[in-house]
Amino acid sequence: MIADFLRSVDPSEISDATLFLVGKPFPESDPRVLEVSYATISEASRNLGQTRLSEAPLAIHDVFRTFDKVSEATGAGSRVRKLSLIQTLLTQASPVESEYLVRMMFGEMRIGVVEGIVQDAISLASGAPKELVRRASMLHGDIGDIAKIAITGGPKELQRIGIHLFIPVKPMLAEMAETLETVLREHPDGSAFEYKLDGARIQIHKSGDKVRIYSRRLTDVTDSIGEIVAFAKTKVDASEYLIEGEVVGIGKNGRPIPFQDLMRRFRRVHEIQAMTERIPLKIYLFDALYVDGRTLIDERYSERWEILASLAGEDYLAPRIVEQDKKEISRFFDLAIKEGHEGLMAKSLSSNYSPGARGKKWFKLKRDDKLDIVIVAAEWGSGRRVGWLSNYHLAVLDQETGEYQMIGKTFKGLTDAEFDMITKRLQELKTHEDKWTVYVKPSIVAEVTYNEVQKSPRYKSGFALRFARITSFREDKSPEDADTIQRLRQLYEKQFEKKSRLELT
Amino acid sequence: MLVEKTVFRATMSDARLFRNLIGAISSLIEEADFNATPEGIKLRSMDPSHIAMVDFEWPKAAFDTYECTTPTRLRLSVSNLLKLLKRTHSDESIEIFYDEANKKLNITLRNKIVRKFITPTLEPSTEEVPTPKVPFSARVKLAAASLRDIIDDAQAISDNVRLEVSPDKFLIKASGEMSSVAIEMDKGSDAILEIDLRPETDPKTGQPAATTTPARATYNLNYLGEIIRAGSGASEVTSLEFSTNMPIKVEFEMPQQGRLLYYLAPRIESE
Repeated sequence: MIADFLRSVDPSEISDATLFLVGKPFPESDPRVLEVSYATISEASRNLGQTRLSEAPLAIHDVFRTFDKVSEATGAGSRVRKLSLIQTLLTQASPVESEYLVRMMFGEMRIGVVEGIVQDAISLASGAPKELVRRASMLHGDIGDIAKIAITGGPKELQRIGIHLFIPVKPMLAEMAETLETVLREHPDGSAFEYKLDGARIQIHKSGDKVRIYSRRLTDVTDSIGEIVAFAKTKVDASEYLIEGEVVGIGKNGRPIPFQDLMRRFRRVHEIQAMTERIPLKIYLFDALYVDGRTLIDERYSERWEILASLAGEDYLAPRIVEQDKKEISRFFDLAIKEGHEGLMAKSLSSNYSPGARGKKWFKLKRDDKLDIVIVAAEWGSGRRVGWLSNYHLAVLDQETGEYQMIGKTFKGLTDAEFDMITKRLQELKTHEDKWTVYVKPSIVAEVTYNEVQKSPRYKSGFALRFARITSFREDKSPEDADTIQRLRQLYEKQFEKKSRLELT
Repeated sequence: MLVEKTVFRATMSDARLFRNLIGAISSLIEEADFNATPEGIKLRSMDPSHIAMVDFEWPKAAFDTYECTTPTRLRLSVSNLLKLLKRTHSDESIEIFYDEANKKLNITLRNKIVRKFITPTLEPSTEEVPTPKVPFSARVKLAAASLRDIIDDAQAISDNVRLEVSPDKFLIKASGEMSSVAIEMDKGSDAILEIDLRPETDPKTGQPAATTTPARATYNLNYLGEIIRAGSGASEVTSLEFSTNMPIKVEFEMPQQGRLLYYLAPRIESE
């Protein structure tokens, strides 16, 4: 059905229509954001009543033109301007259309699930194989463009999409491995084990003198990390490249600083100089996707590593061993933990680089007492925490339904400044509230530690975390990256197999 | 060498006058088709959301020289055009010439020095904009500057303004979250040139009602404010025509049978 639709729309509308289907106001690789609060949208939809001189149906171009203007409105008076733009847009829409527009502006169409279906539809509509469409859209970062290229140009044009410098590539992701045996079994050709560094993943694009650096979520962060730009210009021996690495903030004792302190650097617009002095950064490279005209993503991992190692000094590479021996690997794991990192990455030596895909080619081995959860609601505090939204409802993703399911509450682990910051952000994300509780759009991802996973009849998920405590806010992760109810189930089962658990810690 | 005939060329001794006219259109419309005919230039265009419309006519007689051999449609980016025209100085004359071969508009500003701007034209649209057929029961003619003051007062308070015309009075009200304003102008006021109220027309039968009732309607100030501000820069006298909960027509008097008028759809309050 979607394929028929894509085939039927005017070629000039394919790319906008596709973006609409995946529910995104802008392509993923596009730095523009709408930045409208829920309050603004609901005020706009409440305050209708504007009539029109003539009824013309709302065209998809008009929708995206409005989004563009909304993203351009900044500074003083921008809220009023955004309100009026959105009001005008909703005035033109039928009730069903407005419902979807509001959901789209609020980012509530179920991304991820939908994107896969849309890729299938593009494949069907254009006759290009699914894998080709998926690969092209991961490399290109704009599924709208991909749809247009596929349908108007066919598989041949799609095949030509490679890595383009300065268009960020969706990073390849790793699956969680519960045991080391899983890794050894799934990687029969051997694995390399790299430190899973407690920093922020970045990709560096360079051509001549131009350098741009993108975060894991494809945001341009070049301006906030000047010393990495300098590194990219002087310490990497190639004139054009796209390489990946992890930026780690180094504390006074030489150990990595907590993640949220590092993210402060990324969000920084002012006082960059002062922060540069306070939080020195170190880069650890771990992959090369493109070097001097050569696209490397179809090469084996071992080959890519060799190329990377020839570009930069060993000091700048992620600590790594190639090993089969479980004892040695465990020792290396302990070392990573001792140095303040998260654990290890296990990468199959023979694997290619699959942009945007989470699979068994890469595994992560982590201490299993941490989870990335999403905050879905918060209660107003009492006593010392009066005036703050301080008791947070923690949820994980149900991969089957796309819903976020609650697994507990906590108010532990935050500093006063963090309470302030989170209270403010939660209010911007508010969808509705009752006397004690503010319900929010799932957006904030936090890392929590806990003591145990328990069965619980209180929550629909069937599980609850015992002694949950927030250890950091993961600004680099989107809610779709949070841990899942499926993983929680595994963790619960595993608590009874002490043996395998000991293996890793 | 082949000499091309001139499709369109016009001059005006006061470039600023032309700038003000384009300014009056630019508040609502980003791109529009200018229709040049042997009789003059016309433009009629809806804003993208179809809430407001501008209708503009500048006859041959309003130009100092005017030449148009073939009716021609020129689609221009109004904001882009205005950007160029903002460069005009006082005492400059303007010449507008359409270079058909290159599909460019040439604008020449002349005083002591001669400056020539060249800007591209766009693909004309095929859309025809009809004149709204709306019956008006109330008509108020007043000084454009006074109306502009009133609208600025209302906009300081609210996003919407309610207009009411009774046989001897023009009433303007705006209320915001905290404050409200009411402005009353009697028939005898200096700013008012004319107030006229007729019975409303029944939309079903097209017949006028038996009794005359005050006309009341609410309009969005983002639009109305832009319209009044733009028009009052180009004209001194405005007339407003509307009836209860119907579109308003805002017309600015222009010299030489020129025409500048706007339509704006009302807001219908649901509560």
